[in-house]
Amino acid sequence: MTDSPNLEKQTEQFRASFTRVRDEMMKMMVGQKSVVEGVLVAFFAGGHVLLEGVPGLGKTMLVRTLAEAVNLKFSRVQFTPDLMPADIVGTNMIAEDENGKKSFQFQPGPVFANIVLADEINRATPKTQSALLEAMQEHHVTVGGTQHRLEQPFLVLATQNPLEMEGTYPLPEAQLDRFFFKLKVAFPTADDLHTILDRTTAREHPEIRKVLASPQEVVELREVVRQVPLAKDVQTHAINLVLATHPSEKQASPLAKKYVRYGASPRGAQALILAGKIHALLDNRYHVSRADIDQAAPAALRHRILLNFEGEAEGTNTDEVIAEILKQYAG
Amino acid sequence: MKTPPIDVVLRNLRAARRRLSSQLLLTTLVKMGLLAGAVLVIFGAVNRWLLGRMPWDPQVAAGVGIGAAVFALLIMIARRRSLPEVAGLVDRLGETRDRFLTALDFSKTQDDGPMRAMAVEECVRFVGAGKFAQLIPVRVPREAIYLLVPIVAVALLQWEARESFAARQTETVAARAAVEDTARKLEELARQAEKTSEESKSDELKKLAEQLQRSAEELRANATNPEEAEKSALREISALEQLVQEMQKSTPSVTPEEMKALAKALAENEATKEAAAEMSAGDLAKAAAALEKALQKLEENKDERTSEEIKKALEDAVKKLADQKQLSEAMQKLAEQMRKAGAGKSGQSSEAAKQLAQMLRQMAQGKTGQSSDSQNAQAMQQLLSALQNMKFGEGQPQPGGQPQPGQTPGIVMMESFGKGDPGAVPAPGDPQQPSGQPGSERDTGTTDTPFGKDRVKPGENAQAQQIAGRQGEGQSLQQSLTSAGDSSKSNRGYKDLYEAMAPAAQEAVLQENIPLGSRFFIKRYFESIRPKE
Repeated sequence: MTDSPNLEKQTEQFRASFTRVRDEMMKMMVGQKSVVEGVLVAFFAGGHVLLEGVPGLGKTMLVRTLAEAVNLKFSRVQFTPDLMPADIVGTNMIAEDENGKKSFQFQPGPVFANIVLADEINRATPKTQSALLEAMQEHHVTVGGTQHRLEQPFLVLATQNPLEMEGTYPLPEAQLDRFFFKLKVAFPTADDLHTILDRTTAREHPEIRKVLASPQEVVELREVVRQVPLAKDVQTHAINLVLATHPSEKQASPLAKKYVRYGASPRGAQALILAGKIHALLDNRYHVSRADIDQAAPAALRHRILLNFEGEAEGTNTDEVIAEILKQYAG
Repeated sequence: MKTPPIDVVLRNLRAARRRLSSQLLLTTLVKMGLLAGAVLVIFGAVNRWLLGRMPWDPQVAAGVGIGAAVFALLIMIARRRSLPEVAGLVDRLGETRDRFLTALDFSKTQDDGPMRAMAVEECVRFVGAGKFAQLIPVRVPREAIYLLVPIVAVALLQWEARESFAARQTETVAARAAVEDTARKLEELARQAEKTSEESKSDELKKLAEQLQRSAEELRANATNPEEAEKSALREISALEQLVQEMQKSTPSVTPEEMKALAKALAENEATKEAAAEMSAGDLAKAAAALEKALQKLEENKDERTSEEIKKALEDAVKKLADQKQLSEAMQKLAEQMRKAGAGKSGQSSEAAKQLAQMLRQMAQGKTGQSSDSQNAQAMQQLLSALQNMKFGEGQPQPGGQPQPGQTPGIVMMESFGKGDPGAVPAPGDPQQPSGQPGSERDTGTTDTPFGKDRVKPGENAQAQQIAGRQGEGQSLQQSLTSAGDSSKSNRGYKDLYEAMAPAAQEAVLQENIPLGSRFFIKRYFESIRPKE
């Protein structure tokens, strides 16, 4: 067990690291502070992020910047309909040694990196999409009967375009549930566009400094996050939020009862708590409050709620359901 | 690592809980006050307008108030919040990021990791730096303004009831004073009727005396409104009058005066002298036997002279009877029949004589003795006259209860205004004529002692007559109206009845041959029973 002064120092270090990484990323990203913070919360919580937004909003740039700031290995996979699972996880290839002896040698795919950008993930076939399932949840891949562990920390940042739905394969629920957060990248405002243009069309480009020294530092910071305690009532609040998304539960909100087919999974509650802990640390607290949980709720729950046909037909989105639930439990 | 103490957190939470309880008590008190006010208003309204009582007494009002306060206190105790509930509320109101809740929760486990201790420390530090009890305000609820409604309603109801009851009390006193005189007279009549009934041993008079006493008591008890009291007195007297009239019907139809006149007429003839003597002696059975004996002689026709004498005696007696003005109905019929017989055959004359004998026998076979019947009839007649005088507002008792000269104690008389000339037109300004004011008529009647034994002649300038009202034999309509004081329902019903009956009454008054002096009383009587607009 870590003693109190050391723990205090670690929490201070966590706050400093988080803030510095965010500041570095904000050098490249303009007007997407909530998205940047969401990505960092998921990164320090050990979760994966699904970014949704139209092309050209800097999603790829965001991921690349993050990799540079935290000094981690980065790889990018452009998902296309003809992309095969082996193209992601790697394959066994015949290799000849100095003696002329031939043997199968595993050639790692792009998934063998600390930060993987799965660009336009919904353009690949479900078969290829599912190749990421094992990597995302178990942090290892199996090729030719051999398990290959992925390096820690491992983070998948997937992007998808909500407009061009033709020729796409929507992610299955099982895979969606594996994403810690689903963040919506909004179109920048006019002021933000001015800043973007100023930064990208000038001669000088901002330089991203490496904040963290090694991947091990990320793992240690993640350990600090998990030590943050929370009161029973706060945990109950998180559970209530999740249960309220289920139309069959007594806590269900009216909208959930009407438009939701299936609510959030227990992974949703885990995401709420972990994100709440990070928010508490960032707020110089050593305990989680209900406000921390509420703050994380939209990003943690929106992709875990499945609307029914009526909800789809009415044009309702899951954010409205979550907003109503938060209002219901705001007291 | 040990969790640090959270005294400051608990202190703040307890203070907040006290304020919450106070606020809850205030709110509950206001709600209970509204409820108690509504109960008091409804209770008071029922008492005031349905039961006709004062809305409430101080004990009831105080009881309701105390009950509401106690109930509010009980509700406050029952709904007293626990410390975690208070912590949750303060956290929400104070935006303390659940520090109260966390400190309270973490303090339950003494050793559960360094981060918990750090969290509690941070919470205690945060709570110690602020004032959170003030987050829960203690103020009068907004609903308190609505308490004005029941308060004003209660005050108005109380005020209205007091005013109303004070006015009613005054009216009751005035009404009792108004009927007191009548009630006293009725009691006097009752005493005298009782005395007479003891002397004559008459049950009917005894019952009448009891009825008079009861009427006097009811008159006093029901006297709540001066105007109604007057009508009530008239109603009581009318009812008594009717009762006496009904009792009179059962008395013999021939008065003692008529009997004396008949005896006198029969005594003038030798043949019927024996019957006349028996009649004068009061033995009607013997008189009837003597008369039948004379008739037997007449039928046998043995002695022509005797037969003629008897016939003549009977005819003379009938003539004299026919000349009498105070004949009863039965005697009038008999006289008429005998008068016709006098002009016809002797057989018809003897038939009439048979009827006379039969009537005498019936009278002799009466339940009570002739003397007591006569006394009862006289008493009832006098009582009836007294009641009529009371009804018309006459016969006020003289000071000292002494009769005026020319009047006789123990008799009730009404002086005829016509002075023996019914057709005479009264001169203007004549003080002997009705003035139109109650009690101002020149009436020498008195009710001081209506049961006197002797009757004397009236004054020289007046002719004494007894006027006895009698129930007509024509069609009549009676309707009972349930009355409860000033109930508008009974007033309306009475008004309808009066409007339906007034034309018939007016027509009857115009058609009937009513003495001029009585016409005013009748008119005034109908005026008095006319419903007010």
